[in-house]
Amino acid sequence: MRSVTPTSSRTVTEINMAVTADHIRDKIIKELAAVHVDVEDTSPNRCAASFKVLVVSSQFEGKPLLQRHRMVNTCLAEELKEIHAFEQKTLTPEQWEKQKSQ
Amino acid sequence: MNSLIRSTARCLRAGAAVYLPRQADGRVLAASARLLCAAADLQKDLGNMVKKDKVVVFMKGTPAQPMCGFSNAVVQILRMHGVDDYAAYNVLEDQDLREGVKVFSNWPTIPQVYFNGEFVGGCDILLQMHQNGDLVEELKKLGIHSALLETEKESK
Repeated sequence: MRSVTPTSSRTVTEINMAVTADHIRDKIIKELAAVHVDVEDTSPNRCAASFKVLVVSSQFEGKPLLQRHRMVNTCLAEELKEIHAFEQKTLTPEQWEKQKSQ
Repeated sequence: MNSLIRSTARCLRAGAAVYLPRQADGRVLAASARLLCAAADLQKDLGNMVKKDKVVVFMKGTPAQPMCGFSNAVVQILRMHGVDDYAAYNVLEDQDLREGVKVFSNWPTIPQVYFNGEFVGGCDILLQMHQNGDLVEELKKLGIHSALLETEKESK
């Protein structure tokens, strides 16, 4: 007779860890063709997932700030349901180069 | 702390369904239908709220006592520009408002700023507009003369 090892608790933990900095970074790169992404986990504690992101993408060219931010919000729609606080900076590659040289 | 309050509110809401009055034939009015009506009313109210005043802010806490760093930043920026007369709604006082305004604006976080009934953005956007001079321009369109223009004049 074989005993069944309960794996449900471990699976639940893995699901809760889904919204991580890496996950966010990968999703942004994939969906917004970002050339550079910085994701900072600013969560003060485990209970309040907070992130600060810098996204550099040519898809932002010619788009006003609000539209750029909405693009990022749409990309992370599922994740944002779990995230408590979210800061974002959206730059075109040109703006980013200029910022770096300052 | 917030999650405790949230889960309590959720329990209370779920519990309310148990005490629904039964109709004569024993049918129970669906709680979900009533909740949906309340939610739709809120969306309509929000439509009026954002148009009633030139500058409207949905925030955590009040301008006198902000309860969140991002909400505080919005209050400080507006104050810097001499904008003291605006409508501020405290989402911490009303969980339905807190969730409803996110649906209304299609924006996931608080604070949220509206100019002339149009969604401007959150703290990030307001800060960038303040830094690049756009905020002074937008306030001018609202007929609000930014206090920062005065200081610029004085320094020249």
